[in-house]
Amino acid sequence: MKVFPPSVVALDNVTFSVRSGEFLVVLGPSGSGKTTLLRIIAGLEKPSRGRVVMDGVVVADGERGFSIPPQRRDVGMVFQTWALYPNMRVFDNIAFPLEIKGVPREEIRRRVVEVARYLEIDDLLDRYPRQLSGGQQQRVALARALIKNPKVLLLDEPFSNLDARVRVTAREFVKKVQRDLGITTILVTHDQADAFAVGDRILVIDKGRIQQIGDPSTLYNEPVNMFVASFIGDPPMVFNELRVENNVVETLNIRLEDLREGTVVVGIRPDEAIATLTPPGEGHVALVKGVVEISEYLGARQYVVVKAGKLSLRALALTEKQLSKGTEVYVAIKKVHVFNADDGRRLTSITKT
Amino acid sequence: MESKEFISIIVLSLLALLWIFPLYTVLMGSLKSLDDVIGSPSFTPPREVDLTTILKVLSDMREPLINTLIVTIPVALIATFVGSLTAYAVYRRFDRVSDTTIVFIAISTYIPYQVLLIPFINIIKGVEGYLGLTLFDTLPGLALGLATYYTPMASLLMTIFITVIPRDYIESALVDGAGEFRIFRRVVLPLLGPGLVSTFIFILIMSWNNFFIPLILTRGYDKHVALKIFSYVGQSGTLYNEMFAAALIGSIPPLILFILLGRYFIRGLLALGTGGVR
Repeated sequence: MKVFPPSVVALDNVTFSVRSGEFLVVLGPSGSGKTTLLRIIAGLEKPSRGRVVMDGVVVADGERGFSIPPQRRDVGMVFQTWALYPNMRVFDNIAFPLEIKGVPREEIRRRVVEVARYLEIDDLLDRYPRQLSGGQQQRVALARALIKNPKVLLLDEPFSNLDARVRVTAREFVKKVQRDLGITTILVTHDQADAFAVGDRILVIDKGRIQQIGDPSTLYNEPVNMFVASFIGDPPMVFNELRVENNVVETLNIRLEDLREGTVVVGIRPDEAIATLTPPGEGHVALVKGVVEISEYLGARQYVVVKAGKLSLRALALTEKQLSKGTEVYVAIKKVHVFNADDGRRLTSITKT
Repeated sequence: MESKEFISIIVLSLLALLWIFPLYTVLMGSLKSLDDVIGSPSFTPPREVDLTTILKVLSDMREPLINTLIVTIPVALIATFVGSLTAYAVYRRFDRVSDTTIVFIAISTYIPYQVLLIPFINIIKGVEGYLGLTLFDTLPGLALGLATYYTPMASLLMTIFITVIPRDYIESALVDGAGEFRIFRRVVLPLLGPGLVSTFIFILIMSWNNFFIPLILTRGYDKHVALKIFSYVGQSGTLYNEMFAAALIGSIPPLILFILLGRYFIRGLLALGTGGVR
């Protein structure tokens, strides 16, 4: 737990463990406390309460006001801005952690060249950081973080300062490096695409609280609450508040057992609702008929916002031509998530088995 | 040319003239003979260019010039270095203690030195007695006095300059395993370059122009240029042409320094304005 004076609770009761060699992604919106979490693990911030344990050794204990400084934590970190020392050449940047440890000069040279060759930056060693592209700077920062073979590698939004094109290759690269070295890695990001691309497990955090921790498919298919459901998936899930009478959800005509009378929130992913012009066959849990309000044409596919009675949803249309406003369509819904209207918890999900 | 640009050039030229006027009168005065300097308005050119005054004063100024250089260069170096250490400490702590410290430093730069003269003498005498060193009327003593007086100013300036450095660099160095002194030496000092030069020049000029501290910490007129210039004001009359020449000669070294390092000085100031040197 981390409290910033006077009373901003940045992290509240955050408990989790990372397996050795695992790639964990901490995913959350800005202000969720994810960077604070990373900084506590690095030792740049002290927890107000609670402990951080690394390899069985307590490295920070909030109750006892004890925190091993970052210098003695054996972590490597890549900052969002990469923080390459602008006054040092690439070689000296990468060599810096070894130089501090007092490693002999020849060994430093050997190891820097080795890691630089591995990260494909060995031809840049004589340059200054300002002479490098964003992707190259990121690799240098990664090399500097890896050179001392740390127990844990921490990555703070490492892709957010990269161009969209470079970002895809950078993700693949980081994932490959992590796999090859088998290094325990924690990456913080607000971008779910980053998280899905690299993470073995994803920890979703919001307002300083862990929402859910699990592998990508669990988060996508079994979100614990509306926050996780809306935060994960692109385009995002659409929610509708619907009445339940006699265990039947209105409009969708889905039968649910053990439901209170009243309202529930129904979440439907655009990719799990298929809009067609003619009535579809089997393979759906609900079928509604409605009119197209807006269509977003993306070439290979298009999403349409469909209004069907009280229900408004976004659906995937696989027609070649763009559907115009007012077109009547059928929407076959493959999966429905049902959430408690009061606290947003997921009650159940219905899918065609 | 746009009219706006034209107007600003005119205004800037007028301001430049205003600033150059004292230098011009000093130059004219030092080229005149004593009769001429007393008998004509200060801004008129000399009736006849007379270099004897300048040459005479130049030889008189040799010793005070060298002494002042010996004193002020270490003063500026020490004040700038101590100031950058203070700035780093304040920057790293970033809490109530450092906030209070910086307020005290800022206040102390506002204290007029006249108020400090007597305590200064007392402390210097006290230190002399304690350490068994002679400080009064010596160049090291004068340097110590000036360095003490200007360190708060240097600290304040460096505290402002250091804020330009992104904290990521320091935190990155911490994670890399560096201790505070290594971070200061390897990461912070190199990035402070323009700020260090600006502060150095500023303190050097301030201590070069200081009059009161040399006046009370030394005897005679030969240990500081400001005193030497003052020495031409005599009880039975002032040798205006020699005083002008002394003032002219005395102001040249800081001017040369500024011309040599002015680029960095301005870059330092610009860095403050834009919030980054990166």
